[in-house]
Amino acid sequence: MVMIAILLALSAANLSADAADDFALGVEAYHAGDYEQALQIFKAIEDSGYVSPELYFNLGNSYYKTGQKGMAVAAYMQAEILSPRGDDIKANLQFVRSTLRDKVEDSLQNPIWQFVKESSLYFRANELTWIAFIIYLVIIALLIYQVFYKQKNIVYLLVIFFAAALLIISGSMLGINLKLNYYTDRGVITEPEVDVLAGPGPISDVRFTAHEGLTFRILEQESGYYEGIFANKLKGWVEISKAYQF
Amino acid sequence: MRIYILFIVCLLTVVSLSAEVRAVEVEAQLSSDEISIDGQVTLTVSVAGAENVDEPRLPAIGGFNIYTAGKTFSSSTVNGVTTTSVKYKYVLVPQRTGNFLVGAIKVRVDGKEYSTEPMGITVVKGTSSTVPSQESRPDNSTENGEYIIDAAISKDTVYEGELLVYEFKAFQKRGAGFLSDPVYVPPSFSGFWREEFGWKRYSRRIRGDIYIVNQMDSYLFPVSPGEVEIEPTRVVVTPDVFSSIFNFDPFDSRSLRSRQRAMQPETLLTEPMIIAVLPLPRENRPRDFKGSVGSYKMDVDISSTEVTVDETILLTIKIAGQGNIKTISSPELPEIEGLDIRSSGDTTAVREAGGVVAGSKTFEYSIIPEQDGLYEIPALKWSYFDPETENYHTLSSKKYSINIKPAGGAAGDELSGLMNIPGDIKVRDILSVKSLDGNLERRTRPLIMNPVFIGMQALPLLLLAGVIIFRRRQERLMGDIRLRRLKRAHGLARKKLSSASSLLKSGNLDNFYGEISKAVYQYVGDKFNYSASGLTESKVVEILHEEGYSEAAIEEFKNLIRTADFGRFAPGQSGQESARQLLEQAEKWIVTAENEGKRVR
Repeated sequence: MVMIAILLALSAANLSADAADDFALGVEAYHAGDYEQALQIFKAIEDSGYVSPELYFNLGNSYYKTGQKGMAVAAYMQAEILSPRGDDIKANLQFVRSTLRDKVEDSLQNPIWQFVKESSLYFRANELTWIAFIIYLVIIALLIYQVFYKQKNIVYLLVIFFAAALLIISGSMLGINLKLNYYTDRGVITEPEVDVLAGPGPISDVRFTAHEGLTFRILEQESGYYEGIFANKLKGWVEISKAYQF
Repeated sequence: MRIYILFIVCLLTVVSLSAEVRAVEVEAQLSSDEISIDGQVTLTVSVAGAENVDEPRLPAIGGFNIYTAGKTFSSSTVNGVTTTSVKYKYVLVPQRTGNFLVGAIKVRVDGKEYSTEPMGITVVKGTSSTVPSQESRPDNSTENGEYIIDAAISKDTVYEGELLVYEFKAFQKRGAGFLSDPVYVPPSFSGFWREEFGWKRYSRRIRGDIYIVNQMDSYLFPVSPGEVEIEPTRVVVTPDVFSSIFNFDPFDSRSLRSRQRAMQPETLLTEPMIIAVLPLPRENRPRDFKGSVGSYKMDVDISSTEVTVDETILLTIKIAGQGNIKTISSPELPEIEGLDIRSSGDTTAVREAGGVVAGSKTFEYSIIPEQDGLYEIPALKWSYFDPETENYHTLSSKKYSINIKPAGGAAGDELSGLMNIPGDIKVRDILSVKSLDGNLERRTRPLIMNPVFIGMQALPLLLLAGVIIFRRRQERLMGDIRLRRLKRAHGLARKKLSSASSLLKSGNLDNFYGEISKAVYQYVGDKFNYSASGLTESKVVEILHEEGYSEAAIEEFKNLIRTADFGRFAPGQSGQESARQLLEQAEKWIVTAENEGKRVR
């Protein structure tokens, strides 16, 4: 059993080393100006089940250089989930967005919700998990101390109240982070110009026109169309073939 | 007075007329009453003669998902009579086959409720989107009975660059078998620029039979004037040998030979077609005309008109309309000293729209300021020829004034001229790719979704619960002396017997008997909450009787205590062996008393 575990670990390490070698080849191809080749290599690594912020960053670059701005935006957003404080990712994402046709600002968003959302997305989900877990352990330790020493002084009560408040905050931030990063189907327009319709079919009225790189939250899928909610709560249906779900 | 009466009569007439105009009509209509499972149908609810209309209340339609597809409002005035109409459109997407009923749809108009008639709708299997419509055999077609092909052109005289549609249809009788898929060989279309948007597939009823129609529309744009020939489209069909030979239809009167003949591959050809392509007129041809023919509009957009020298401006020119979109050229951009205007590429979107090619081509330019100052981008001009009006048209944008300001505090900045990005990073292009910082990881779910980690969350809680239970038990013992003595009785007795054993081993028999006696009395005292010093043999016997201990256990106690007393008060009379037996007897009695105690409780 132990031998099997060791063999599995070794084969996983070998696979990871192979993927790392391929990654270096992709970087080389990109520097040589062969963006198409770089894109194929980075995509193959992603398809084989590996992830890293650098992989999605490089994928974003390769997509952008091959003229696929929508896919580039999706890749940078995936890199942001894995490395939310990466300035270089933000810089490239913002740069690509500055070249898009649709300049969208969530002007209708509640500033409190905006602050909560940004704070939650400042951390990785796993970071928030460990923060919440450590606070949870501290609270348990304080309660055990209370069982033995029956503390009633104000300092103890303040400490435990503060720890409980931190646990609630970190838990809520984790929930929001998971909801936005892992339980939200997002889509991005991948065609230069796409009609956003009032219903899932070509006969439906056109509500507005979206351009490549515009992101939206997918609400449902029907008859070859995504129903999406765009910035500023605009809703509409987009042909699946003209968008990418991530 | 008469004038007033006349006025009132007129007024009443107008009111009654307007009331007539305002007669409300509510109607629901389905685009088709039979659809295939993979199709969809449009439900339109029209309300005529009213403006204040609430959203219709649709009944639940079993077997369908319903989606709103927009609302249109129209108003027209003819001969002084105004007609208003509101239409609500819904898309019904079938979920299963069968016959369904669209119940009465209720609409509230000006506070009054109106209902529509119920309608039936059938959902069938298969790919045909509608019930085949009746059609006569197509013109200019060739056929082999079960397979018919037909080609047609939208016009035979066009201008150079003007759209011409070549429509090819292949009709295959439903149920007709072919050994292999028919081979389709289209014309080369030399002399034309061609756009195609894939095959359309639908059904038609021809002379009572249902045919599956495969239609390919080729959108052609002649590239030069003159007479151009479109060669025939060729289709090779090979009927199914087996179904032809083993056709046991008693009503099929064909001989076996004629059936075999029918099995040979057969080539079907459409008629060749000649197109007269006219040259574009030379008169009034604008100087900037680059050959675009059709109908277009131009939108020019600039990302900012006031920037610093370290920022980039994005200029977007979008030409949209109908015609050969892909060959559209960008308008000429002027060279402006102090501004570096570079192309950032173009994007094209082309689609079929009601029998024409429509779409847009967007050209993007980056304007990179080289020095500060006030600049003007003159009106951009772009011309096309409209074959409908047979005239040239020139589209023009507005002029843009651009104010380039010096970079704020960035004098001598090596990165001057680059785009500002938050995070103190300045880039003109995206930052280059990165090497791996760490390892590539397998894609996994976040830690919080890992079942082992979730299970781990219970451990600290269990620890807390254990601590609480332990502490409560401890507190209970502390507060109840009787219980504490009871709990420790056995342990203390064993301790004293162990001490007696040590005394025996060291040969100190004087103290040994006393220790045995103490162990037994201490045990009984602790067990029944009496002071050990106040206990006598008779008192213990009485207690044991009261507590329901067996006579054997009581007798054993008596023997034990008497032997110990005897040893204590006549030490010389007992030897080492009898002392050891007494120790064993005491140990045995403690065990017996413990068991009896559990039994009687």
